Amino acid sequence: MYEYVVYLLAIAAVLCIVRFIKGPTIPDKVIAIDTMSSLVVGIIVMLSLYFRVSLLMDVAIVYAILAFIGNLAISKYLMGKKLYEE
Amino acid sequence: MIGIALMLVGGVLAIIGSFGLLRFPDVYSRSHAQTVVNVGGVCLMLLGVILDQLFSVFSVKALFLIILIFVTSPVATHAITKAAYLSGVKPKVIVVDEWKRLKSR
Repeated sequence: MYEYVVYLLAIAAVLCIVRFIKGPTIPDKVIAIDTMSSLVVGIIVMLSLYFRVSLLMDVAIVYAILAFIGNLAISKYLMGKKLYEE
Repeated sequence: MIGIALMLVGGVLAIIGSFGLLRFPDVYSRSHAQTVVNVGGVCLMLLGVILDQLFSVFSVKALFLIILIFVTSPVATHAITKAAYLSGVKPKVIVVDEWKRLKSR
């Protein structure tokens, strides 16, 4: 029963990849990657329920923390630049 | 049974939020769709995990993940939208610009 949820989340992740390829500015791509990392956390939780291995959930926790730290680092890097002046 | 129903509703909400991420016009409205995926999709799915596995190791870790996503998701969204504004990305539909008015004072 859990694999259908994995299918739904995988379709959502494919839509996020399309936004990452199309995205006109850099913050669009960062938002798409952050959304996709959240979906990957959901997929890892579903796989840990499917295989009955509770250690995979620790992988999901560490993945969520690393995605958050990477997002903060990229936004702190972008904050002082004047990239899109017209 | 209700846990599996909540997981399926979370998956459908994740698809709806990703479709909004694909269709909205600029960065600031796409961040709303990202909140739908984070809170409405993945957190509802983790609540379904808690209701499915009642007293188990999975339930405790899912509760910790719900608290983590609820804390970190608004912080990350505020950081990336502030960086987008300060690097010069203009919104498509703008009514009032509070930051410019604050800076020119």
